Amino acid sequence: MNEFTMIREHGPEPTPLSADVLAKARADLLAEIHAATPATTSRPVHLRRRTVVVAAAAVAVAVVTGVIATGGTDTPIPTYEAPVLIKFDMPALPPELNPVPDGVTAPGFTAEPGWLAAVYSDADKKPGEEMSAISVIVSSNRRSSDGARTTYAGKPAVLEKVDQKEPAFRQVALTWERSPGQWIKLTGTGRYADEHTVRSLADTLVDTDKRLSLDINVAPAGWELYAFKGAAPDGAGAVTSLRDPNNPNRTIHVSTMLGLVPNYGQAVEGGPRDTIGVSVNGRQGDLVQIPGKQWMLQAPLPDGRAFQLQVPADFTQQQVIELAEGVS
Amino acid sequence: MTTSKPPRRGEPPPEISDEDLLTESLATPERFATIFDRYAPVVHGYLSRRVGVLADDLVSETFLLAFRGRTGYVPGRAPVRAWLFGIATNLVRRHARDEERRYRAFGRAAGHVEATTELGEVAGRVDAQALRDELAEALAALTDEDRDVLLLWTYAQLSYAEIAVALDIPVGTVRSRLHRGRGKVRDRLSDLWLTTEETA
Repeated sequence: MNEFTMIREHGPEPTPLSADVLAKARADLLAEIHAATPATTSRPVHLRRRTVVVAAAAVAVAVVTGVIATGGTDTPIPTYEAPVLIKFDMPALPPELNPVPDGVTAPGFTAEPGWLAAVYSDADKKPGEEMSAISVIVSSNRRSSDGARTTYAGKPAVLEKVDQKEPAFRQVALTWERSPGQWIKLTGTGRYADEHTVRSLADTLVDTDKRLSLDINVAPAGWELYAFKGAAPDGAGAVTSLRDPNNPNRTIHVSTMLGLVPNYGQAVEGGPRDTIGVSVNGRQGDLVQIPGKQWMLQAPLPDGRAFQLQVPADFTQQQVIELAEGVS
Repeated sequence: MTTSKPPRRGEPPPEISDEDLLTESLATPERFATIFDRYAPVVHGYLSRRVGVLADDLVSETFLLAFRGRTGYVPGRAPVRAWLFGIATNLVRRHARDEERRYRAFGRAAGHVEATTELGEVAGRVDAQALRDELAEALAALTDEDRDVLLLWTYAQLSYAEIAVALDIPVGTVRSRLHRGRGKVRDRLSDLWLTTEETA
């Protein structure tokens, strides 16, 4: 018996995890989650994209899943048609509140298939106080809503009032079709949760040509943006994710970092692994192949930050670099 | 002895990967609850071996901190579970005195612990007490840094690279701390306990 086995077998034992403790910890987490959850749950199907410029390859068939069996094992290994890369346009940001109201931060952005949201968070929330926030959600389809029918700017609209007796969840939301194919849901929470305030905020919405801090302009044909998160104030932590809607487990992730990770081959999962030096838009990056799972690449961004790209293993090395060169 | 074992490489992957869940939780925070369901028991097991019943509070704090800091997780650098163990380890650091008390109590309690069948009965009872005394002394004598690495390797069964990410230190430092920590434990334990069947 060596030291490790000795500690595992004869060192301090774990104390039992009771159902009560587990339930309380889960409840604590759910309370935190609910406080952070945007006031939206439904998911229309299609993203509105600024433009959809499709290269000749765009007519290529969508990715199709097949399954082959390996000799001597029952484990099927999925195979996919070779991905075809095409130009990709990130979705337009929602119209912005101009001016940004006092008491909230500049907007942070988040998205899922079907909608994209700008969230103006409480700028000076103190512990124990109710949360106040404003969100502007844009989608191409009318979002389901059960509120009262009204009008806004001369157009049909729906006004929802939620949990008015519970301050922490007090919300008022106004939904209307701002322009053909552009549905807006503006939600005021906490101190912004009254109809007059929400209508006044809606009056201040203006279109914006701002872009996300992390852009992808090349993607596999048929893939969709399914999540992104803006960067922290220092520029790190932005995440943009694409996925194959026919095979949702197939994803591409891009995330920003403050700089390149030293000894990248040792830092990746299952490391140390061999690193391939690659050029990405003339800048030196590192590529690591994790056989059967994914490619991982890191490279500098022009502003001094760096990004990391994760791509499924069935893409070619050249395609991974093409994807990386489309990150800005 | 019951041991909480985290899932390791080679086991069937979950239906949705932890990394995907974490990414999805950025836009849909509720997805993070599944991370909790997957890892709360093993994180609690790790914490309770180190700080005892205080783990009941720290397991909650670990996941709250993880949820609030989930944008800081970099997909691909290390598995989500390594990231969680890193957060838990940082919390243990804040409760170093509780951990020391845990080892002292563990040593004192050694005389009340039943011997394993492997060690026999009367002789085994005496041996087990002596072994636990020595283990308690050995773990208490480690520096915080060496103990973190040794116990992430031993209890959480993380790799060098995963520990490096969990503690935000270079892999080389992980290797040297593990080597040093292991050596100190070996020095404290009587030769009759040890072989070299497992290497780091």
